Amino acid sequence: MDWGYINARMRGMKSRLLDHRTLDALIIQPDIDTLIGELEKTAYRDDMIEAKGRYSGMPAIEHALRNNFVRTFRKILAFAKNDEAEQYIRIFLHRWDVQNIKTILRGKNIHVTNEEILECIVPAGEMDEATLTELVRQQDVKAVIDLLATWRIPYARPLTEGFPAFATSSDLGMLECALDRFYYQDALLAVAGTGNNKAIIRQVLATEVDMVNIKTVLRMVRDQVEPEEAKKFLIGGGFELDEKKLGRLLALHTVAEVVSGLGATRYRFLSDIPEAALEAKKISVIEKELERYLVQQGAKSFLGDPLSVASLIGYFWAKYNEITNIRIISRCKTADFPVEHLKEELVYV
Amino acid sequence: MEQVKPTRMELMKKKAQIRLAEQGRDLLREKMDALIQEFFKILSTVSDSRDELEQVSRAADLALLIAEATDDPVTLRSAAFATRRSITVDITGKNIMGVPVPVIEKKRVSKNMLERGYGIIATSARIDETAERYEVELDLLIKLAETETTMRRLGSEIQMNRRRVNALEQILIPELKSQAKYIKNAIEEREREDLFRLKKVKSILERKKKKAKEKRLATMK
Amino acid sequence: MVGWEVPIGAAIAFAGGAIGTGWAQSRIGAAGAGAIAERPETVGSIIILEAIPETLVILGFVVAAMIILMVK
Repeated sequence: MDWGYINARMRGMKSRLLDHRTLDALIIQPDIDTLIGELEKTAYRDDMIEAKGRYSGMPAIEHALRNNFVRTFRKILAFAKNDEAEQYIRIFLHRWDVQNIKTILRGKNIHVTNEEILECIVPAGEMDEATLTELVRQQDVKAVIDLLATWRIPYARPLTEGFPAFATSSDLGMLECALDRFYYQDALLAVAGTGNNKAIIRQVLATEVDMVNIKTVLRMVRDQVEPEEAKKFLIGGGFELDEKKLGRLLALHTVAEVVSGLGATRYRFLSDIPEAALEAKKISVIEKELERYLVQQGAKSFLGDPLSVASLIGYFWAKYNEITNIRIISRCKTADFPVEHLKEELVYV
Repeated sequence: MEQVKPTRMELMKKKAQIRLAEQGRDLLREKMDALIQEFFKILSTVSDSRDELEQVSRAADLALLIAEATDDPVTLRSAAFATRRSITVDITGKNIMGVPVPVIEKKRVSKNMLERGYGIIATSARIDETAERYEVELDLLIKLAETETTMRRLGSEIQMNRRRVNALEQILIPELKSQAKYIKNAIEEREREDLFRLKKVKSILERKKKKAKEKRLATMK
Repeated sequence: MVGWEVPIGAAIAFAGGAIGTGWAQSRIGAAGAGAIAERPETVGSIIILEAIPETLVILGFVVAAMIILMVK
């Protein structure tokens, strides 16, 4: 379908995202109830009212946000009848599939009750609630993987390949890593080839892979993991950082060295982080900057070619960011969190 | 006052008892001083680690809040699934001044990132740091459990000691002393009586002697 | 004398304008539909934007009329 139509709708939807002033109005609310009241004046009105019927306080906001998120994406998926647009939406939605499969595997690994696992499942991806419930009902990790294979769900492949190693070491981390790697490889493979739109999607994905790799490197270096061991957790297909560069970073000894090692790349903004945070090995501060960059980079797509997938990508990131912002605000309202710190945690786009 | 036989034997026995009681009291006092010293040493560490615990727990809660806010709470709970496992502690004992106190040894609560169990790609360093803070809190909690039990044991030991010392000082020793005094009085009384009696006898005897002498003198005349 | 070339020329002029308008309006219409779907209050400006390419077809019509009237 016409990109003009999609672009116009995306921009229309973007105009209804909360602006700075609305967010500031949310921030100054004294407690969670007035915050809910304020949210009812925004685009979250319907979801908020629905969620209020079943929950109250923080859970109500959580549910409203999640419902809104899922609903928004389903809506976009419904009208964006365009191969490349759908492709990107699916890539984005697959995150939840991966997350859900991981949750199920983790739950099964330590034998949590099915109800408890179901509580932690967000049926926002392509796998619907019935599919997930059936997966949860399986006995153990092996049965879950087998069922995925029987249904020919692509995630079965990395899991089946990784299972023998898991069976001997019972280290779920490697299995999850294989799943995550598969997600990015699969997504990058889907947008391989020529074409302006594919190139745009590829660039966004590759930037994300870089982010993930930088985070991994930082955490590995912080915990003094052997470079050879740490290499197993890297993902290929990064935008600027290939395996060789990452390997060099992994061989460094301190977080500050890694950050300065990134000085020659587009991630040099990390060196603006105060020394104290680096000294204290506070990766979360660096991570926040990386995420901020990723979100801003994604949302900046709005400035790109209007007759392409760019506006869709821009909207997704902006929406994702908005949900996160509201969640941060409301969480911080439940615990008297000073407003100045709260603003530091937010990401404005 | 219980009946005591006012004999010299008894007095000696009482005196020996008093000496023993006083010796015991002094020993107990010394022990108590040592215990109190020990107690205050532990007390300061306990209050320090209590403050520390409070700080750490506040920091941990804050980290959890941020992690929950920024990453989805569902993601967080899912990550918690991966890390859920029990910790084992070893409890042995040691002696402080004859007071048995526990020594709790933890079997590695703090894990490194790869050992936590969740895949590291889709989880954030925020989750790492939250987990780390809680692990530190757990460490502190276990340490605090050890020192607090020690402190409580020492406290009750000190209390018991004080009661013993008090019993010795306020009841046993005064009683023994008064008994000894009573015996001493009784014996002295009796001695005085004896003396008097002897004197009386002596004077009677002397008078008799005198009379006999006079009689003899009279017959001689 | 007027031959068959004149009406043909006029037809081409008009058809060119009409096709151009149609093409432009289809694009604007699609985008406009999207915009209206999200923000119904923009309907006024969308109609104006939608109408602007009409000038092309009017221009085509005028040129066609001029060809017929002026070429003797």
